[in-house]
Amino acid sequence: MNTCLSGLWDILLEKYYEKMMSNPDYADEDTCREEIGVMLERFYRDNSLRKPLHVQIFYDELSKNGGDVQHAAEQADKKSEECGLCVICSRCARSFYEILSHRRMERPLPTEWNKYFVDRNQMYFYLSAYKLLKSYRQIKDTLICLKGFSSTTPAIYSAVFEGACTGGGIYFNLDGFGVVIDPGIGFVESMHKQGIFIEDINAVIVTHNHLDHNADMGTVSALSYDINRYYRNQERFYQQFFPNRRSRKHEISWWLDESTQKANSEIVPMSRCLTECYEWKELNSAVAIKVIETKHMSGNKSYGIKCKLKLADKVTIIGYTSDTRYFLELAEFMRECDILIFNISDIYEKDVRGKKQKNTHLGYDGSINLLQDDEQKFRLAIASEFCCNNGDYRMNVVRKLNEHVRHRRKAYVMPGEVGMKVDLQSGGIFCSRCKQVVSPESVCIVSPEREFGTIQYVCRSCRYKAED
Amino acid sequence: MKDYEHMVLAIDELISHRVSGIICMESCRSCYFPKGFRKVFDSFCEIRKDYEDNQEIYSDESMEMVEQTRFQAYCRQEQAEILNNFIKELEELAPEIDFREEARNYYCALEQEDVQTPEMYLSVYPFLASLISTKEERVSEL
Repeated sequence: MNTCLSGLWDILLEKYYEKMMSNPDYADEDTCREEIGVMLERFYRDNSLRKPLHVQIFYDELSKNGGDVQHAAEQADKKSEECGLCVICSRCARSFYEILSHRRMERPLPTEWNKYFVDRNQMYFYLSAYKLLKSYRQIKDTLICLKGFSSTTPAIYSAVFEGACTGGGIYFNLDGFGVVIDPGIGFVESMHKQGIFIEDINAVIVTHNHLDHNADMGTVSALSYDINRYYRNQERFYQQFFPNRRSRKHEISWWLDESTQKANSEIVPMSRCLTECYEWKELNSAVAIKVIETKHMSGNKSYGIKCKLKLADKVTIIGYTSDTRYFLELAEFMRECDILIFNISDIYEKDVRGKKQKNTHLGYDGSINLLQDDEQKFRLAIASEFCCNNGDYRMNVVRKLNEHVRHRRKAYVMPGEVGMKVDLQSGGIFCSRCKQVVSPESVCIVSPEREFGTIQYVCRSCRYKAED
Repeated sequence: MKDYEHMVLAIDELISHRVSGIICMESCRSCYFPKGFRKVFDSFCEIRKDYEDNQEIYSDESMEMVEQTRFQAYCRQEQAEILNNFIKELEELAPEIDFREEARNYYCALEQEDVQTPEMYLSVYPFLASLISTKEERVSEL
């Protein structure tokens, strides 16, 4: 308990115990009396601190010839309840004198540890940062891409050369309801860098059981557990005195494929299976999802997803192919999407020439087939999960894909990059420099300064400024 | 003790209590104390000046812990004064409520907690102030 004198008792007791451990006769020695006396003199060196009567008695008894600590404590204890320093007395002085006179056993608090117990815990600072950033960031009604490369590129490239080349997932927030799709490697780090906190996540969807799609779901689950434990500990005390106080609990609904669900049943015990979502399934009143089984790898089911978002004056559908090869039903499934996110992965010569399609991912030919489908209505397509084993080809591939798409309809293909933001209301892109929303046709995609660097999405005015 | 450590301690142990006391009393009396926050600012300046005047003593590393504890004791002594005045003002508003007993119960419950945060200590002000509104609600129900 924090009292006016609890700090003084702590430093006196620690000093006393420290010496007693090495020399059991220390209490009877003059040095003991002297050291306590010096400490008290320094503490009460001027009139800024009121000296209670029991402290004066304790000091006087110690200063007498032949007076010992135990006797001084016994004498002071008699007046310890007439301290009058705190409004509500916690009898801290009595406890101190009882310990000194050997009537009570209590270990002193090591003074070096004092800051540890006084300091607020990490979750307090985490939530403080969240509250602070809440008014500065833009995530409401926004789609944020937290993934640029596939897991293979970071594994080989970033482990050796570049730490920033990370995978991740997709995040969108509709009116405060945040949904994460495929929290893969580096997702938690990327989300915090973009100002997204665990409180901003209300649903997590995992399309298949591969590390680049679910590696960080354990961390998300642990963060959610930690924040709820913090709230619970706080609430238990406050509820006694503020009965009308609203209790806080952060809940995340988990939608997983069968394999991930089975493998992570201990990490996420309460989850639902994506097989429930072959028809539209509402995650909340404004967000619904629908899935299709895709063709990724044999023996490991994967799902493509459509998310229907009810905005104020319209409905927007986001499609995410996840990892799959091209097949006709996938194109049919994605036909009503306004924004399409597709995973390219690596490209091969035969795939680019159109001789042979890739088996596990869309690749170049699969992406063209998907985007060229005449009945697609998307205005913005985001190419994601590049696996650049032979060099950074992102800009070249996107340029070619745009050529294929634009002679058919007015739509734009953009390379996905960690931090790319799309405004769901207008369908515009946030400029990487001025943070203003601009329509996709006005966005200039700036190539990274070096291989595997960060791609930027720049509005015209920022571009002209840079050129000047 | 560094100057920022000194100020952090002062804010945690004293300034935050002054601010909470003023806000809760303004809410209780439904009025604005024009000089309330001026006093907080003055107190802040006073503490700052005290540090500057006694910089040599505060930066004596061999006695750092004693000086820190001494300053903490000073802040807590002032804190007790703030709570005491707060309770006196509440007693003027509702003499039939035993605010000291309620504060004692609050601190007893706080004592039982494994972790005691600065916010828990600060919450004694809104808790005591809430007793008045609870009483008013009961009266209006009757």
